[in-house]
Parts: sequence; structure tokens; C-alpha cells
Amino acid sequence: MIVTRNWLSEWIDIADITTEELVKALNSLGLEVAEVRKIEVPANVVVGKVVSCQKHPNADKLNLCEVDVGDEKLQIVCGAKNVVDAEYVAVAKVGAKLPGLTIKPAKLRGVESFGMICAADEIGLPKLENGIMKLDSSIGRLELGKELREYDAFNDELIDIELTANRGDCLSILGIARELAVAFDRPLKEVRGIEEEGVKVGIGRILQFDPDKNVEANLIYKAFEKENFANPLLVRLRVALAGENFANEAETLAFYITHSTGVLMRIYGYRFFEQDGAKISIKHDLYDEVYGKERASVVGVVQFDVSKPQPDERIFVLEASFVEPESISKKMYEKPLESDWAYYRASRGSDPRVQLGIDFAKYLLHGLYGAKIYSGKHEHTQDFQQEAIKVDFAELNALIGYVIDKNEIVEILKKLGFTILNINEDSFSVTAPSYRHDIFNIQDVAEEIVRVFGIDNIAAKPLVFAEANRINDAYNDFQKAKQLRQRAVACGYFESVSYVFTQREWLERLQLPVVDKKLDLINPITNELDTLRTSLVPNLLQQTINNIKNGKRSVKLFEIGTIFDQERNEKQSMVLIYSGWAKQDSILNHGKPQEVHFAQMATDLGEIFGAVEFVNTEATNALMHPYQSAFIIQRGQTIGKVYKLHTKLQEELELPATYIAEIEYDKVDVSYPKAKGYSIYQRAMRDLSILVDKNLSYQKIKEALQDLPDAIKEFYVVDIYEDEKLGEQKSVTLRFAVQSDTKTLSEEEIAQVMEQILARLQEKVGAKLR
Amino acid sequence: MQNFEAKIVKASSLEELEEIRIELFGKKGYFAKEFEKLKNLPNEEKPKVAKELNEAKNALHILLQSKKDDLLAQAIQQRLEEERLDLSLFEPRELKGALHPVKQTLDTIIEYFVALNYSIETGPLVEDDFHNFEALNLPKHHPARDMQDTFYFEDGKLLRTHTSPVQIRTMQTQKPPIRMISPGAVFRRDFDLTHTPMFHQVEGLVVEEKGKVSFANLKFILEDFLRYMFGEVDVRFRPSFFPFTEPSAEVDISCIFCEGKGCRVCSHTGWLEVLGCGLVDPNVFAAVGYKNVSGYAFGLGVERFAMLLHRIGDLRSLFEGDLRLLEQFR
Repeated sequence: MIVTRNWLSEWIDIADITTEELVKALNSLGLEVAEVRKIEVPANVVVGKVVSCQKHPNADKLNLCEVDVGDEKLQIVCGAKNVVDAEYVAVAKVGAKLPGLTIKPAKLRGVESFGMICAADEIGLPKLENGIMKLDSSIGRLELGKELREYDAFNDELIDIELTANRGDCLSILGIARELAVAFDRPLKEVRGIEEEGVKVGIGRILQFDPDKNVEANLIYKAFEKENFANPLLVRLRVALAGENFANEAETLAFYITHSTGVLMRIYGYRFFEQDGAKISIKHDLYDEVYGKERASVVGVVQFDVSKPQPDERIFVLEASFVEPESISKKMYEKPLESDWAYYRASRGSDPRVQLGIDFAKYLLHGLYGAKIYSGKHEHTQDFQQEAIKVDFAELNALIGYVIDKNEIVEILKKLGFTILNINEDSFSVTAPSYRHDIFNIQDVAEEIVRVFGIDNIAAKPLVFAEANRINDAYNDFQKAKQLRQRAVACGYFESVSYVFTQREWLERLQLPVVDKKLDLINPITNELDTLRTSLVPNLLQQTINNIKNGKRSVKLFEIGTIFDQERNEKQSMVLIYSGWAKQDSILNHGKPQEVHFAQMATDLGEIFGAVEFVNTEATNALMHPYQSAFIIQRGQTIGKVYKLHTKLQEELELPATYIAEIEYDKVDVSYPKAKGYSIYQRAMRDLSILVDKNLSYQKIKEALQDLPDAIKEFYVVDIYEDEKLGEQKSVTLRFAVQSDTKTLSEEEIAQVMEQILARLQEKVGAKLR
Repeated sequence: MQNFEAKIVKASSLEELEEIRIELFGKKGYFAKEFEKLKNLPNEEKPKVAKELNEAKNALHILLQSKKDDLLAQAIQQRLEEERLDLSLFEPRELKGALHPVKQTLDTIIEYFVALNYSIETGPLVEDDFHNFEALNLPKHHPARDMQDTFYFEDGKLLRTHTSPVQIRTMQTQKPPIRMISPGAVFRRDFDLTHTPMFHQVEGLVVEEKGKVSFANLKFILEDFLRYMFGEVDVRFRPSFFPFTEPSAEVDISCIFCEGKGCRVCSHTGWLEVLGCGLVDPNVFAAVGYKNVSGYAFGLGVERFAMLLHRIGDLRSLFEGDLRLLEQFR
């Protein structure tokens, strides 16, 4: 909502209030000021009068004008077509500093020019017309040579207010003035009721009125007559400042009255209603619709171009209307129509006092426009009754949390135009003014009190509550995620956040699941983000690619986030990506680090998830390397998989070696383990080197060594050796920790245990002692 | 004797010194032989010679010991020198990673409210119209629905546009008193310099019996929370409008960049808008079947907080996993 100081001052006296104070008051009332902008014509731009105007001797498109600026007459060359019939104009004299241009004496096609006749947008105003700006007395008495900036309209401040959806009543200059009147405790200026001077005959003589009985809108019609209808400069300037630009002059005026008063106005051309006499019909279907020869408008929604006055129109029909905002919004939801500027105001609540709009229009038309107004009016109105709200003082103060004096409460509401009905010691009844469409209950009333009383004046107070154990699964989950995230960070990974959206085509190419089409997004934001992700990998991989393109040689990223299955069920996933150099280039590797090997990824997974083991598996999508893919087992449970990025994809994406771990977050166990007993006797370490088939997976050896005697506390592989002499075999060296729970084992006993192991390996995997 | 002294002084290793020691003090060494010779001297000369001999022996012994100490010290010194290392070469290149600034900010926010005995509640990202709109006093035709550009699914569901539906779900499954926050991702169809289709919010809700929870309480908790987050800032409440609260307010802090003097970040207002809040609208309580209760609710955008706290200029960069940004937080 745009207001200007100058425009506001037609409704309230604010001469003694600085703009800063206005802004502060508006903000604290809940009318958020988004921007304040100075509207100021530069110095040395003055009122001039075109005394003569003839064709430039050497240029068809230029005019040679003589312009009277009071103390002198200036010869000025002007290129605008509309200078020909111009009288009063804005003249930038030599020395004027316009935005981007300083005026100097100039020679144009051989003719000297001492200044410039200006268009509105050349002197810091919005564009008003094609060509130069013509001045008229709507801005004040025109005095030749007077600086334009000495006129209030050209030295103004624009205040842009971001209104909330509930404050339709503030969608007008009057509405904002009303709020300021409360804040600064001063009266509004009355709309001058005028005697209908220059009155023509009654409207009934020229126009019949035929509304359906069940029309819901409030409507008043007046007619006026005006030859060569044109809007004065002040009206055009203000409408342009408010950000509107209408092709139709009468529509500009209708908007101006609406923006001034908050009452919805339309202006129709009289000829549109002429057929077998002239008649306005209002038909009620779902909407209330105005008819002449055909449909003229839908009340509160749109006016059709055919019904707008033509340039040669002499008689005009003025309409003030009101429809209930909630009702019009519902209709638009049920049966959407194309709408114009009026719908926004109608749906947020325009002023129901339609007569106010008519009165203001009369005042303007009679004064500024010199129009003749027909007496009488056509009217279809009914009372929109505001319901009374019962307010208990104690309840009100409990809501606010601060005791505000009863008299002050009543005073605030009265200032806001509320009607106090029954008041007693404990409570009162109140009705909101008709233009407030957002007051239904005591909390709405409380809001009015709070915003006028000032939130700053309400002392903050801690809430007293009963303590309770509020630790739940979500809290435990927060702690679990935090633990895992911090461990990943300690391993050098950077936490990432990516969109839950990804590209369907990309998922399909990677052979990942996609959300069922019947459950997918209707209105994605871009083609690249047209579906929900079924894995964190695609987006994280894209981020890896971008980082590599940005010159990063080692990328370690992880994310914990929501993924979806084909049925669009949500679950949490964690993905880690390790790409490129295993280590940073440094003195330790002579600046030539090796590319990441699975060993490093495995080490990281151990540091993050504790003891894990890997069970080789097959590749199940295009991401996975067929010979480097494994399940990750933690505490006996599969928690996810880890794999090298498929070589083909790696090359296509121009990535270095890349490992990816996909973790099913819910399966990760971070619970604090329970202690077991431990042996206090000597532990012996024994290495055992065996020869096995070259292709035998270590996994098989592990399986063979399940359920070993108690004395074997742990074992692990420490060396693999292959050479030509060994042929189809390889040497595997295992290290065993041998320790009894009950005594220190003798060498013979240890040897016995090792014998058992060897026998087991011989039997299960055909191992031979090396 | 002079000879021995010179030998000791000249000795260049512990081994050499040991040889000299044996030569002097060994069972067959110089002094053993000299003392042996005493037997053959006349008795009156014996004490004198013996005394001289003992003195010489002690002197040499002391000399030898001191030489040994010197050589030991030299050996340590030599090893030390061999171990000399230019530590300045070894600035670590393998550093830890970093938490994402948005997630880290979320952690900080959650910790505050958990410390004040709020529970954490969560809800689905894919929501229905009732929980996301209707129950929050946003009927289908409500003009405020314009404010929220929503992602819809083929089956009529939607991606939640705020964390507020978690309020509804929590009230539907729990009885008052309620004291909760719900952190999480939310979605709006908006993608430009200052909007991303996904961002994070934290919603807060407190419900107690009627007459207990007031606007003054809301003011207290939010002022305290904002000072916890941003330090000693001024906090300003501006009346505003949200369909699900009444009275409603937007909360500003004095600009942390210019300390309220006015700068580009605060659009020269001196204030930064950081929160929305209000007393829960009676229609919301009605939608979940709560009677005779009072409550407040608030909501904030985590990215906004993170950007202010960590001086991050570009919202979109938060979703790009760009190490050039993330590396700055380790």
C-alpha cells in the first residue's frame, strides 16, 4: 500500500510530524513500512508558459518554442509532439541538474536552445504520458518561474507499507490516516459534503435501475456529465506513484477514489447502457454482475473494457460497491474468474460505507473536474451488521499478561471506531466499525489493545509451568545425529544440506528407484528438481562434481536427510562421499597424494560407526562398482552399503576415484555398550601363514573361523602375498590373540590352539601351512 | 702422570676413556702396580709416597669422571642435534571437516529450548491440506494462502510450507500442557536470490490451561532466546498478522552489523526481522478440539539466523555443498 505525505495530508494534519515519526508509529501499529522514498523535483526546474511554438527550420521532428519563465522568455528546442498544444510546462533552466543530465545552453540543428521542457520521468517522477508533462492548477496556483519543488506534490515522501492480509481497511489513504489519527490522537479531516451545484436533472430521468432481489452487494450509482473528460495532473501523478497505469482515463479516476477512500469505485460510459432507453441491470448468479448492452462488470472482481467510457463520452455512470470479503474469496475459490485491481481490495475487505465513496467523488468531480452532477442516485444497499463481542476485562488482561486500566481499554477501542455497548465493572460488549473485517473474538480485541497500547509498554514476564520429563524419541534421535555428524566431521567430512528434490531422469539413469508417478509433484520448481529424491547420492554426487570443477582435488562430504521410497514414505538416510585424493597434497606425500583407496574409506567408517565389517555384494544399480561393493555390518546388523563409483559413470562425470557409503540411518546403533568380563592373564600373539586359493575371499576365511575356542580373543589379517612361485595360490598371514580366561597358557597349550585353527582352515578352505 | 692427564683430556669417546680408566685403575693398572711397589720402599717413606699416590689417584679419578660427564653430555647433544626438525614444515593439511552452518545453528537453537524444558516434536514433510492449512485457520479461500506458494502432489497431498502442522499433530496426540519445538525442512515454490524451494524452520508452541499463557510470557521467552543467539541486542515487537495467532507480532533485533545505525543489510532501518509469533488463535484450538486453554506459538527461519550469525551473503550457497564456503567453518 503506497501513501505519500502530501496525499495523507488531505485526510489528516501531519505537518508537525516528521516522516521518521510517521514510520515509527506505523510500524508499532502493525503496519510495516517497507520503504520510504523521497519524491523531489530537482532545483532550477520551474513553471513555464509556452508562448509560441513553431517548426524547427532544419528538423521536421523538432519544435522551436518560446517559453515564458516569469523574469525572462527562453528559446527552447523541444522534440515532444505534445508541446504543440501545451500551455503550462516544466522548464529545466540552464544549470538544472536532472537525474543523469545537467542542462547547458546547446545548439540543436543550428538553432540555440536555453533549457529543456521536461517529461515527468526526466525530473525524478514516474512516467505520466508520452511527451512532456503539462502542468495544471491541480497542484496549486501556477506562477511563472516558480520552482516546481516548491509545490507540495513535487516535494513529497512516498511510504510503501507492507500490509498484512487482515488489514483490508488500510488499503486506502483514509485507512492509513485513520490509524495515524489514533497514534497521534488527533481528528481526521471531514470529507466536505457539497451542495450539488450545477446539478443536472435527476439520474432517474436518464437511467433506469433493475437489480435482482437477491443481489448481495451494496451498490450506489450516480451520473455526471463532463465534456472532454481528462484527469488533472495531481490525480495522474498520484495514481502513477501508487504504481498503477491505466489506459482509460475514467478508470484512473475510479482507482484514485478507491485508493483515497477504500470504497470500491467503477466508472462506466453512459452509452453502454443505452438501448430502448437506458438501464442498468444487476443479475445475481453466483456473483453479482452488472449488465448494460452486455455484461459490464462483476462486482468486486473485474470491469470489462466494453463498459469503460470512450474518449468522446459525455455522460458517465459512477458506481460505488461493497461485497463481503469472505464471500467473494469463497466464490473465487469455487469458480475462479479473471480479475483486475479491484479484486485484491474486495477480497481483503473494502469499505462498506459506499456513500462515502460517492461523497468524495462528488467533491472531486465538482471541484477539480468541473463536472455537472445529476441529482439523486440509484441504490441497492443493506446493512452488514457487525456482531457484538463480549469482553471480560480480567480475561483480556490475562491474555495480554499486563493489567491495562479499564478506561484506557475503552478509550483505545473508541479511538479505533469501535462502539462500546454495555459496560460494567467486569466486562463490556463491543462492535467493530463496519470497515474492520478482522474482528471476531476477544483475542482480536486484545490485538487492537496491544498494538495501540504498544508492545514495548508490556513488561515481559516468565511463564510459570510444571516441570516434566520431555525427553522423547525425537530428542534421542537429535543426540544420535549429532554424535554421528560430529564423528564424520572429525574424519574430515563436510556436512552438506541439499534439496529433497532431484531430477527423475537422473535417478532413472542411475537405476535408482523413483517415486510412483501417481504420487509425484504436480508443480515442480524446475525441470532439474522435478521429483522427490529416493537417495541422497544423486545430489551429493552433483555437489562433488561441482567441487571438483571448482578445482578441489579431495572432496569429503556427508549429509543426513530425508529420502522417499516409491510409495513416497519418508525415512532418514546418511551418505558419505570420499572422492579424489586420499590425503591433501603436502610434504608428507611430496605433493603427490594417491587417489582414495577403499582402505581409507573403511578406516573412516570405523571411526564413525565403530567396529564394522564388510560383506562383499553385487552391484544393484549404475552407481556401484561390480567388484567393489559391500554391505556394512555394525554390531551384527547390516546398516548400509559402501561401494566404489562405477568406472563408466566416473569417467562420464569426469570424477576421480570416488567411494560412497549409504547408511540406513535408523539401523545405526550408537547406544552405549554393556561391559563384558575380561581376562587378566597373559595374552599371546601368534601369526599363522597359510596358502589358499588365489581367488578365495577373506570373507570365507572369516566364516571358516566362526565359533573358535574361547582362548582366541580376536584375529585379523596382517599380510597377503602372491608371487609366481605360489602359482594359483596366495599366502595369507593371520594374527591371533590367544588368551585364557582362567590361567596363563603354556607354550604347548598355545600351540595346541593354533593346531586346531590350522586344522579348521585345512578342512574348510583347503589351506596349507606355508 | 702428566701423560695420563693429557690422555684423559684428549680422549674423544667414552670407549677411549674406559680404556684409560682400566689402564689407570684396573686390577693390573697403573695405580695397582704403583701401590704394589710400596711394599719395597722403606717404611719411613711409605706414608709420604702413599699419600702422594692417593692424591694423584683421586685427582685423576675426578678428572676422568668430569671428562666422562662431558662426553656423555656431548653424546646427548649430538643426538639432539641429529634429531633437529623444522617443525614449521608440518602445518597440518588434514583438518577436521565442519558441520553445516544451518544444521549447526539448528543445534544451537534446539539446545536452548531443550534446556528450557521444551520437547522436540517432528512430523512428515509430505502433509495434507488439513494439517498444513485448514487446522491453522487457513481455509481454502483465505487470502493469506497467497502468501504461501505450495508444492502439490498428484494425490492432493502437499509438501509442508511451514513447521506449524507439527503443532496440530502434537495437539491431536497429546494433552495439554504442551511445551514443544519442531525443527525441520519446509518448502515453498520460490527460487531467486533470497528464496530457495527448501529451507528450515523452528516452530515453538506452549499450551496451558485458560488464562495462564499471556503475550507478556511470549515476550519474555523470545527476548531471552534472541539474546542467547545474538548477544546483547535490542528486541522489538511489531504487531503483525498470521492466520494461526492472535494477537500476532513480528520480532526484530537491532542490526548486528551496524548496531542499529542503519546499513545495507538492515535496509537502513537499523532493525532485522527474525521471528514471527503470537497467542494461538482460538480457531486453531477449536480445530484440534482443545477447550479452555491458552497458548503461544512462534516460528523462525533457520537460514536467516545462520546467515546473520555467520555473515553468509548468499542464501542459495547454503544448499550447494560448496567447499569454498563450508571449509570456512572448520
